[in-house]
Amino acid sequence: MLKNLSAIPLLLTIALCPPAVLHAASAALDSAPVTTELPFFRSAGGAAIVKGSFATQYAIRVAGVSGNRDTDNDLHERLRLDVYSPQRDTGYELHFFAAASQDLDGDRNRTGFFPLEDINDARDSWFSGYVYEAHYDLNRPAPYVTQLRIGRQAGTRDEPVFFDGIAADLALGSLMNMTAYGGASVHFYEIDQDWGSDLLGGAGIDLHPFRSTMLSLDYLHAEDERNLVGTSDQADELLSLRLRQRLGLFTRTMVAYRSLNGEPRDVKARLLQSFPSADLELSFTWFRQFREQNELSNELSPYFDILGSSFPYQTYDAKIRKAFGSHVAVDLGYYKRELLKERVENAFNREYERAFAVLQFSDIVKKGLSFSLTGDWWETLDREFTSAGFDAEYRFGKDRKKTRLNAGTYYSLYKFDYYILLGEREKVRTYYVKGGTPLTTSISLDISYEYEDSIENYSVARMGMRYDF
Amino acid sequence: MLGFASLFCFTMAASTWGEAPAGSGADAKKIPFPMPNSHKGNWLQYHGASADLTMNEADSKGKACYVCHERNECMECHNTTMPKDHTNTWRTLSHGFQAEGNRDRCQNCHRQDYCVRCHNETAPRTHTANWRSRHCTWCHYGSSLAPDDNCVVCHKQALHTSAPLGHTISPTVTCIQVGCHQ
Repeated sequence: MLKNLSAIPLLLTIALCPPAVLHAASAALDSAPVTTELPFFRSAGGAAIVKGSFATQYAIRVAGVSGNRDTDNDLHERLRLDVYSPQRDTGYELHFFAAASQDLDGDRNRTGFFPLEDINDARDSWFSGYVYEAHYDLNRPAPYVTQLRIGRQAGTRDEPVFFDGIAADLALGSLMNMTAYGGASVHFYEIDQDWGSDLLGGAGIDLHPFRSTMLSLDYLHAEDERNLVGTSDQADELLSLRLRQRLGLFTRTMVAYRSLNGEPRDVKARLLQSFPSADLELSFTWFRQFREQNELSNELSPYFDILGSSFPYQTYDAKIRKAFGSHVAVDLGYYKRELLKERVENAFNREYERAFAVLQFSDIVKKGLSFSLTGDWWETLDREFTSAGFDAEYRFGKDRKKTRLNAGTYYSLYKFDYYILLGEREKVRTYYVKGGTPLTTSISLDISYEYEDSIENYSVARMGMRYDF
Repeated sequence: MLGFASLFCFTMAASTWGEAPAGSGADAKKIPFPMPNSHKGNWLQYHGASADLTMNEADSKGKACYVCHERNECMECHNTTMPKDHTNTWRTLSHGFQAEGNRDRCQNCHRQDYCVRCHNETAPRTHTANWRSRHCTWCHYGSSLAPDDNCVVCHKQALHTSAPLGHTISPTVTCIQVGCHQ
C-alpha cells in the first residue's frame, strides 16, 4: 500500500526503465532494429521482420471531494508485437497486443464510493490485464486461401467482435472475396465469463461486380450464456447487406441494411463528397433503427442491461470541413437523434441534438505552431451541455521525430434536472499541459498534467515511455 | 509548410479500394511519413466515416487504409485511447448523460459488459457510509413505489430481504403514508 508520495521516484523508475532497458538491449543486438533476427522466427528465407512497441506509464490521480483528499497510483503497460516472415505474401505473420494495469495502492473495498475508482478497480485483484490479439497467420497456405488466422483475434467484418478461434480469407475469383470465422467469444469485462461458453461464428462475402461498386453480405451468429440475475441466455443471428458505390473520383456512397433474428433491425446510408478545388468536404449519414431492441448477446446489445430497451429511432449526422488557404480550417457538425414513436421518451430513450465547431490555425506566427478553438453543444429533454475549448500546440524537430508541446483549457457546463425542475448546473473547468519528445530514434517520453475543477477537484499527472522497435 | 492546402483531395486518394496504389502491396514497406493532408486538423472526427466507406474487404491487405496502417491499429486505439472528453467528471457524472441521449457513440469502443462490470462492481457517490439507512426516499422519490431510473441501472431486483417487517406494503401506499419514512 502506498501511504505517501515518497515512493514516486521508485515508481517512475519502474515506469520508465523497461522501455529504456529494451532499447539498450536492442541497440546492443542490432543497430538497425527494424529487422531483427530472432532464432524463434528464423525461416528458410532469412530473418523475420519484427515490429512493435512497448510502453509503460505511471499515473497519479488526486481527488478533492467534500474536503477529503484521495490519491490513486496506477501503472499501465502495453505491448504490441507484429512479426512477419521475409516472404510476407506467402509466409507467416504473428500479431500480439496486450495491455495491463496495476493499482499500486492495492485492492480496495468496493462497497463504498471512491472518487477515483475506474474500470480497472472493478475486479477482485489489483492487477488487470487484457490480451486483445495473439494470433498466428499463414498467408496463402492453400489455393484460394489468402490468409488463415489462428488464435485470439478481432473480427475484420462489420461487427466489432473478439474471439479465440480461426478465420480464413478466401479469394474466390478476381471479383469475389470471402472471410469465414468462428470460435469462443471473448468478452473482456463480462462478470460471468466462462471461457468457451460463449460462441460466435460468421462469414462475409465482398463482391466487386464493377470497378466502382462493392457489395458485401455478412452473417454473424453469436451465443451468450448469461448467469446474472434477471438475464437469460442469448442466441442471435445477424444478417447484413452493404453496398458501397463510388460516383466519380470525389463522391462515395454506402447503404447498409441489417436484420436481426429474422426481423429488420436498421439501415444506414452515408455520403462523402469532396470538392478539392474549394478545399471542402461534406459528410452525411442517416441511420434508422426499425424495432425495439431488448436483451441481446454482448456483441449486439445496445446496452440493455444498463439502459433498458432501445426504442426505434433515426439519426442524421452532417459534417463539413473547409480550408481557407494554407493556415485556416473550419469544421462544423450537426447530429440529431429522434424517436420514431411519439411520447415514448424516457430516461434512456431520448431525442438528442448536438452541434460542434472547430476553428484551426496551422503554422501561423511560427512553423509548427498551431491553435484550435472548439465549441460543443448538445441537448436532450432535460439535459443541456455547452463547452468551449482552446488548444495550442507546438511541434519542432526533424522529420517524424518531433517534440510536441500542448497546452489548453476547456470549459463545460452541464444543466440537468435530477428531480422536478430543480435546474442543477455543473461547471467543469479543465486545464492541461502535455508534451512528448523522442529521446533516441526508438524511445520517446510523454508527460502530461491535467487539472479539473468542478464540484470536485481532480489532478492527474502521467509520465510514460515508449519503445518502438 | 504543413498547412491545410489540398486538405481533402487526399481523403479520397487515401481510401481507394480496388487495386493498390503503385509501390504498395503486401511486400512493400509501410509508408511511414508524410501522412496524407486529410489526416491533419480534426481528422479523428472524420476517420470513421471514411473507413466505413472503404474497409471491410476480405482481401484488403495493402489497400485503402492498410497501405499505411496495420489492421490491429484500429483495435489498439479503440480499446486503449480515450477521447478528450473522458475526464474524471465524465467518469463520475456525465457519461450517463451522453448514454441517455446518444448510446450509439459509446458503441464505437464499448460493449455492454464494460458498463455492467463497472456498475456492478463499484459504488456510486451516493453510497456513503449511512447510505443503507437513507436510501429509501432516494430510490422511491416522491410518491412512487417504482424505483428511480438511477437505481435500476445497477439494481434490477431489490428484494429488501433485510428491511423491517411490514415492508410488504401495497403498491398504492407509499412509505410516507405508512408512517415510517418522512
